[in-house]
Amino acid sequence: MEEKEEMIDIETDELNIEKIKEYMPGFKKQIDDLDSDIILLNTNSDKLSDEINNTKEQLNLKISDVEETVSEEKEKISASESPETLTSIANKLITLASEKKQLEEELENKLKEFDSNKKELNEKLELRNSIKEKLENMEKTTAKEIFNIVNEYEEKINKINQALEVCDNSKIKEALEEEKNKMQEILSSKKEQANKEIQKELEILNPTTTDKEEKSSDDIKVETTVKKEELKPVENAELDTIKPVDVSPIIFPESTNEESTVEQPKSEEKVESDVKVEIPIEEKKVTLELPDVTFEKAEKISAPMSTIDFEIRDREVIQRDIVPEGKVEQIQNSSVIKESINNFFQKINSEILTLPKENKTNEVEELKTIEDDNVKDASLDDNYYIGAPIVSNVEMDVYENIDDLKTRFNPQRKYVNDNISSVVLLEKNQVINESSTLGTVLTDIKYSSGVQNANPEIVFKLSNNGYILYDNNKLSVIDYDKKEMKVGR
Amino acid sequence: MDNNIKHQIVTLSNGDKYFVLEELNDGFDTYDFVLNIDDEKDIEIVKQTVVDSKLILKKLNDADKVKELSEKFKSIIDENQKKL
Repeated sequence: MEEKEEMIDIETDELNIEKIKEYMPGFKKQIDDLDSDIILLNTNSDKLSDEINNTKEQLNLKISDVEETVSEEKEKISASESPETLTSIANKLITLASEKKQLEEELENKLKEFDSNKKELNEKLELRNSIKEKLENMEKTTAKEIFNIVNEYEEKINKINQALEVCDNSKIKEALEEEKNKMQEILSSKKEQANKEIQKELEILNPTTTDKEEKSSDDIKVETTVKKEELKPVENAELDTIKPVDVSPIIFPESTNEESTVEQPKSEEKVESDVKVEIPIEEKKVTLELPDVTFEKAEKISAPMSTIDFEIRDREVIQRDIVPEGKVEQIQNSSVIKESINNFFQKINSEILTLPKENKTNEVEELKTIEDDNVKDASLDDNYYIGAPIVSNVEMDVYENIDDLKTRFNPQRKYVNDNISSVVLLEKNQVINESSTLGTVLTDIKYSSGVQNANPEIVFKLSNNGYILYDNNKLSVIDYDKKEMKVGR
Repeated sequence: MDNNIKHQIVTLSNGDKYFVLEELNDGFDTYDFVLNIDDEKDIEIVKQTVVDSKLILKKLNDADKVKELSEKFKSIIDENQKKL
């Protein structure tokens, strides 16, 4: 029982599909168990009610018996006053009184049992209704989650459609089509998954047995009636007229003109439980209407590329599982995953890095010094700035440290869309071999620029034969053709 | 709470499970390069945020940021592949 109550403590707003999957069968079993308990308690209530009525009937019969006996014996007492007769009469009355008392006690016990049974029945009903409510909330949550997932992908597809309408670049279009197809595949998969989930829920909630359906059609109503019979008063036996005999005093507390009462039911005309036990496991009509996605219907809007959402939505991490070391390597070495990773990077390069035609240029604007206004505006202590002062279509970036800078300007990367044609990363204070091409270039730079001690950590070769050197926290810009060098911070 | 989820399988509130291939911190924020284990073609870059002690993987809207992060992740992954 404790376990069951713990499970009910889950807050509705914390529910999600995983938790629902986990808890729904448990809740379902709880309801089944409680239904069985309730049926048992109802049966018990009916039985007790019958027993109470029988006992009351017996009690009334006994009272009538006493009344009759007293009446008969009164006549005998009038006719004969012999001690034997009186003793016999007294003994008979004592026996009758004792039997009456026994019946009253029995009635009282049965009424107590009935009340206890009723209390337990109410508790179980309350618990059952609470669990049923949780289950209903779960269903709503499940449906909501599924709708969210489907809507999410439909939204993504719509955005891609919108972008396709306004995009002129064939490469981007191709990539978008690919993305759209991928999204459609995922959407179909999610729809299929959603249908399976719903089917599972229906199976859990609506077992195929007709048992429950039959139960559902008949509300079980506890209607236990304890009839109060007209208890006839026992007439005064007038025992004070009987001469004392060697028996215990005969006391008939109820044998007055008062109505014979039993305290427990408080003389109610009808003890009726108003509790209705609703066993039905209602038919779950969880319907999910998944609209067909019609790409042709996408409205043409001028959505900028940057609004395309390539990412998953905000989601809370609800579970974290450590993956064993061996398994990690297995994943990393998987050819399928490697291919997915490569495709991802290619997709990003083709969809995001490719600049529109009008922005493509191999011409570098006139070199500007680091002291240019652009740089001054962006000056922040201890950060490095690359790009804007030298190349017009490379945005100003801020880098926190040299590692970040190195990562950003990866030498292996093909810089096809901006004016940096290659990058050479050098270890700090690494001596450049002057016989190498780079060494020769650097020597030329050093001597031509007059910076004799230049030993750059990073050299960016620009497509117009210019260079950017990062050296000792300074950026040097070299226009190689002009043999001109500007040194910044 | 330790929010380093590299090489862990995370289950998100929508039921999706992701394997975190790589993680990097740019000094301000932590980003994850994640692989959907149900659909191995689905790879994403997400940003970590913590709200009320709950770890949230957040979508990125900034294409430039995605570009920048993908380059960083590629560099790290290429480096790792060499070691393997």
